[in-house]
Order: sequence, then structure tokens, then C-alpha cells
Amino acid sequence: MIVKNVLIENFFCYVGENSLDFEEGLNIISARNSGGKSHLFNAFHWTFFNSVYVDRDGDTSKKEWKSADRVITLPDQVVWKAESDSVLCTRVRISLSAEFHENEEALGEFVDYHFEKLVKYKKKGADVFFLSPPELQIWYSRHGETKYLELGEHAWFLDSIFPKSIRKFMWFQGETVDELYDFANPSTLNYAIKEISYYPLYETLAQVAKSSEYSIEKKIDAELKKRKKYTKEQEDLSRQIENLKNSLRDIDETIIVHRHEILNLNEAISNEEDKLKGYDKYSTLKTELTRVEYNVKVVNDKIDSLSATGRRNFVSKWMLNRCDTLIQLAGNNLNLLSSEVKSFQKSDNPVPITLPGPEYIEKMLHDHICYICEREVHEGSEAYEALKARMADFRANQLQKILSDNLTDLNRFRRVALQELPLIADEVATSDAEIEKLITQRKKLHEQRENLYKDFGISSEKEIQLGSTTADQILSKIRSLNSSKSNYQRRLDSSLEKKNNIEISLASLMQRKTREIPSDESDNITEVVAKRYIEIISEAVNSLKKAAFDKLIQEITQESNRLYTKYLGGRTQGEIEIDRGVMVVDRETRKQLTNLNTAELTAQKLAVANSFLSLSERKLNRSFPLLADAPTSEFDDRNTMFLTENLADSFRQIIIMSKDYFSLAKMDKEVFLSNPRVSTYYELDNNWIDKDGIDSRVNRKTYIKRLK
Amino acid sequence: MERLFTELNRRNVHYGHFVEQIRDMFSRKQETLNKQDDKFFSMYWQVYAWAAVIGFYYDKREEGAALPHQSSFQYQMITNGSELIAQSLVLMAIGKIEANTSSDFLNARKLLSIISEHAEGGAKHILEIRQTPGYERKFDSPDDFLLEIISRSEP
Repeated sequence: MIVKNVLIENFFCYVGENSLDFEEGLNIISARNSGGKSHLFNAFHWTFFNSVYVDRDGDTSKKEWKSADRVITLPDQVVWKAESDSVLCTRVRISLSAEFHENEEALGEFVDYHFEKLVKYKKKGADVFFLSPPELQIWYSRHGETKYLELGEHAWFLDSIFPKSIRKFMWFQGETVDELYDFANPSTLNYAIKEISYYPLYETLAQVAKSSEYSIEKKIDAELKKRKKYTKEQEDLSRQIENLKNSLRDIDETIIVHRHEILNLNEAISNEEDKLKGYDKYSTLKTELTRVEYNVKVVNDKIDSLSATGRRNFVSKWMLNRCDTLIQLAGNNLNLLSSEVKSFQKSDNPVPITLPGPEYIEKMLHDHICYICEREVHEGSEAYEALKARMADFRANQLQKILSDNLTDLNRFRRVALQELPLIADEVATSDAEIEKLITQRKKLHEQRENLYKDFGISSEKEIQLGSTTADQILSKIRSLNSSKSNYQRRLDSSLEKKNNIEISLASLMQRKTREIPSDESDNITEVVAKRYIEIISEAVNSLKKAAFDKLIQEITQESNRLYTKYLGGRTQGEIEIDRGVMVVDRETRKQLTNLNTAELTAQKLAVANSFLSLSERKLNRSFPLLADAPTSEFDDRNTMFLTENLADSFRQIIIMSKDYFSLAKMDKEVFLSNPRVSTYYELDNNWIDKDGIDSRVNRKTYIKRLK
Repeated sequence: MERLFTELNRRNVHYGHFVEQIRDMFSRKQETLNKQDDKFFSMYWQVYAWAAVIGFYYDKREEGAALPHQSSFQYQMITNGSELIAQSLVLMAIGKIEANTSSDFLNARKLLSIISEHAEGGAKHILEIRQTPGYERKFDSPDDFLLEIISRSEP
């Protein structure tokens, strides 16, 4: 695959349309710091993989990979110049020649593919917003016809031209080298091996041989059964063996499926973990926010409860505030009542206590009989009038009693009211002060919440909502992937144990079978002869497979060491050894070397990664370009030249972005430029747009100058 | 004859149109007692008592006002809700009567009428406040009720 051209329009420091042509061989993009190298690399990554390596949120001193959907790619100058409400866009088009793929299959013929990514923004005030997420289009022209790949085909196509397992080797971001090349993990190697050689074919062959062995044995058994009359025991034995073999086969298949699943899950987990980068802060922020919001809720609840109590107090007491004077006004009338009651009490009580009660007198008046002296009392008589007078006395007495009771009641009411009412003002003030205090507390909590937003560099609640939802989704996906993984791991372990048990029982049954049902060529069964051949083939395939693996590792080791030595101009401390993981060992003691300097570590990782790519080119006749941003940042000038020139030997096309060529002396540069390996040489210069204009990034852009 | 307060409690409270208006403005209906809404009062008697207190405090009395609403609640409702308020209203009403003998003020219906006339006057006063430009929404917020009692000057 050869990258032919990149067209960049309004992407970070690239203002307007910028075009760069690339050729086979070494393509150098040289620039000083902040010249636009990394953003050129980002342009590739943004287009193909929807992510860019930019400043962390809220921390411009560190960088991280961010999803393209979250990063505004427009140059400051374009945003600054645009009018509010205008629509702005970023566009990157990459043209490359790659194997033509049809129905997910490479056909060996090369066509030019074009990848164009476009994103539109709208300016509102000083800010810009996404109008739509970045959209990628892929098309190619073949036999005079232009065809667009459907959206659903993008993923497999990108995957087939940049295979995931070795993608990270061809997209080299100097600053993230440690994250990308995790050679300590054996699966990184396993994956890569499958991608770069025909080794998987040996695995398939071994599988075929094993299956043949199985089916021929089955045939032999069937034949034997036909020829020899099996006793019941023999038949049982044969059936048992067959059953066990069947289960063994099933278990083998299950084991393969489980292993495959575990590998897939591992990759999915690491993909999700990559995605989580940049999102995890939202989770932390959300936890903090939840804590603050819980406190706000507690304070609000307290305020509510105080308000409710206030309302209750209002309807039972507080509404009477300052009514004491009005109540005191009742005093005059109460005094009047009091004097009436007193004056009655002063007069002689006309009803002696010893006399019968009012009910008794009433009965006497009604019956016209005095029940004291048992004589008749006639109406109008003196006695009758006396009884009536008694009755009136009783009534007056009763009225006086009610008056007195009323006086007692009203006095009590007045006393209570005059006691309670003056307290109201203080109670209201206390409750008010408490509410006031809580409101201040709430204000502080709101400030805390605002500060959290600021500290985390987030401006809107919506963003955190989206961010934390995404983070939660990713985390829960990782959790569920991990649980499926442990599930598969458990099942795999139990299958392996089961397999082991079955193999033991099978071995003993087979021994019994050899004893009890002997079969040899004298039986004249063709399959017995065939079986012997198959066994030979199987054995051969297996040893071929092992040899191929060993040879492959040896080749990778050799190639890695060759590159490693070259990249460092022959000055290496030890050599690379690949055995499960990757390490540098002492040539003599074979012990792992520690405390290597960063240039050596980078060279080691680059060497292994590039050995994969170059072997893939050699073995599968499939070439990948190497796109490297700052690969030599850890190297001195001498090693930079070594690395550059030697990289050129390993790849059909390399695009290197680096500042390290800028500092070359004029002579050296001329020699370097005249090197036939260097096909194109660009210099990027981030400079003023208007030389007399303002000193601001809105007055800067990257200028591209082609020197070769 | 019975004790004044016993008789008062037994009697229905009568009230007029102004009280009716603020009743609907500030109190939830009886049947929606459980429903949480933004009305400050949850019972009719509370609005009536509040209007009466306002009437007494600001000396707003609608003397001889028609009191056609006569069967909403008994005075007992107020006593049950807050004895202090029920008793204070009676005492304030007594304070408004110029009596020669105790019988001039120990009259339940008369006292209730005085309270209701003040409630009517208080309610009218509240409605007038709400018609003053800038105060149209006075008492829409619960804080306004507290503000009003705090703003009352010392006797």
C-alpha cells in the first residue's frame, strides 16, 4: 500500500486547503516544534480511526488520545475570522493505492482508494459547535467507474488494509510508544504472528491431519466390527471408546471456541480501555458531584422541613404576632365582668346550702306539695311564692356561676395569649436565622459544584452527563466483558480438566482394546494401512508446524536484532530475545538487561514492530506504509540518521514527521536530500499570516515547502 | 344558658365574599387535603382566622357586611386547629365592644359577627394590596406571609 496524497482543509494549524504528495521510499516531513507535524499525523489518524492525539481536558501540559467526536479541529484563525452563525468545516482527504477488495476479499489488483472525512461546525458567539459528527466516505475508481463503499463496509475495509493486530506498528506516535507496544503481553506477539506469515496454514494442516486420524479410526472400527464377531464385552468396549473419542472431539472444539473467545474478549477489553481514556475523569467528577448534590439535598430537606414547621407554626400561632395590644383591650370588659361576679359574691347567698336542690324545689312546685313538711302548697299561697323565690335564687346562682366560669375562661385565655404572643417574634427570627444559615450553606455547596466543573475543565452539565454516561457505559461494558472472560476462562479450565480425564480413560480403554481386540495388517483392512500413513503425515505436519513457529520466532528475532543494531549504529548493549515476551539480553550471560536508556528501549520496540511489518512484506507480499511521528525524539543526531536510513530498507514507503532533520547542518542536509532513498522532503513552518498583524495564534498558520 | 366558649364552638362561622375570594386564592380545597400544591393554607378555617387577624391588627372592619356563607365550618374547627388563635380572636372581638354590662359582650353570635366582619375587612385589605401596582403577586410566595408578620410594628 502506498499513500499518494493528503489534502487537509482547516485542520488545527492547517488553514485553507493544503496538499502533500507522497511517493514510495522515504518521505520526510521536517519542522520545528509546533510546526504542524503532529497535526499532520493526527490528520491521518482522525480520518482513518476517528481519534486524535491532543491536549488532555483541563491540562494542556499532557496529551492523550481523544475521540474525534469530542475535539473541535478548526484552526483558531478560521474560527476567529468567521461570523456568528456561519457554518465552518474541516476536511481531510487521503488517497492511497491498495489492493482491491471485493466481498471482503483482497483480489491482488491495486486501485486508488480515497478516504474523505468531513465535519461541519457552526459558530455561535465566540464558540463553535458540532453541526454533525465527523463523517467518512471511502471511494475508488475501477474500470472508469467510481464506487463508494457503504457505511457498513468501512469497518472491515479499514481492518483489512490496516489489520488491527499490527495497526499499532504502522502508526507510530513517538510519545505513546510504551502504550502501543506491549510486548510483555504474549498475545501481542501471537496476534502479530498470525497476521504476518503463513503460519496459520500449518495450524489448519495439523487440524486436518488430526481429523483424518479420527475418521480413519472410525472406519477401522466399523470394518473390524463387520469382520469379527464382537462379543458383548468387546462391543461395549468399542462403543465406550467411540463415545469417549466423540466427547474428546467435542471438547477440543469447545476448547478452541473458548480460547478464541477469550482472545477476542481480551482485545475487546483493551479496545474499551483505550476508549475509556479521556472519559474516566467524568466518572470521578460524577462521584464528586453526587456527593455535593447529596449534601445540597440534605440542606434542602432541612430547609423544607424548617419551612413546613414554620408554616405549621404560622397557622397555629405566629399569625397572631403583635396582637397582644388588641388582646389587652379586652381587659376593660373583663374587668366589668369581674366586678359583676364579685358584686354577686359579696351579696348574701340567698340559697342556704342545707336546703334541697333546684330539682327538688321544681318537683315541689310541680306537685304542689312540700316534701319537707309533707303539706300541700297551693298556687298563690305564701309557701308557694317562697318556693318560687327559691327557684329564682337557684337560677340567678346558676347564671352567676356561668358568668364566673366565663370570667375564669377569658382570664385564662388572656393570660395564655399574653404569655405566648410576645415570644412569636423571637421564634420567627430564630427560624429565619436557621433557614438563612442553611441557605448560605447551600450557596457554598453550589459554589463547590461550580468549582468542580472548573477544576475538571468542563463547561456544561450536558457534557458531563454525556461524558459520564459514556464512561459508565464503557465501564459497564468492560465489566461485562471481564465477567464473560472469566466465565469462558472457567469453562475453558473445566473443559481442559475434563479433556485430561477423558484422555486418561481413553488411554486405558485403548490398551484394553489392543489386548482384547487385536488388529493388524493380517486382517487385511486397507484403512489400517492408510492410518499408518496418516499418522506419519500428522507427525510430519506437527513437527513442520513447530519448526515453522520456531523459524518464525527466529526470523523475527534475527530481523529485530538486525534492525536494532542498525537503528543504534551498531552500538547496542545486548540483543533482543523473543520468548513469549520481548526483552534485551546480554550476549554472553543471556540474562535480561535492565536500566536501558530510552533511545535503546525505543529502538528495541521499533525494531520488533518493524520486523513484523517487513517480514509481512517479505512473506505475504503485503506492504504497509510506516507513518511515524517523532520516532527519533529520543535519539541523538547520529542515531537519527541511522534509524531513518535503515527504516527505509524495511519498507516500501515511510512517512516520517520529525524535528530532528531541522537541526542538521546545511552540508549534512544537502547530503541527506541527495540520498536516493529520500523521495520527498517537506519543511513545515508555522508562521504569521499577516507579518504586521497581531501576536496571536489567530494570526498563524502552517506553511508547507517541498524541498525534494 | 351555657358557657360562652362552649356556645361559640358549637356555632357555624359566617363569612362574606372577600373571605371567600381569598379562601380560594390561598387555601386548598378540603377534598384535596393530601395533594401537595403551592397553596399556603391547607384548610378554610386557617384563611378565615388569618384574614380576621389581619382585620383586627390593621383595624379593618366591614361593619354590617353580608355574611352569606354560613355552613362551611363551626368555630370548633378553629379551636381544634389552634386553641390559642380561637381564644385570641374572641378576646380581640371582646376588646372591640364598648360594654355597659357583661351581657353586651358575652354573646356568641355577636362576637362571631365581629370576628367575621374583621375577617371580611382583612380579606378586603389583602385583596387591595394585591391590586396595588407592584404587589400583584403578594402572598403568592410563602415567604410573604412570614414577611407580613415580621413587618408588624411593636405595639
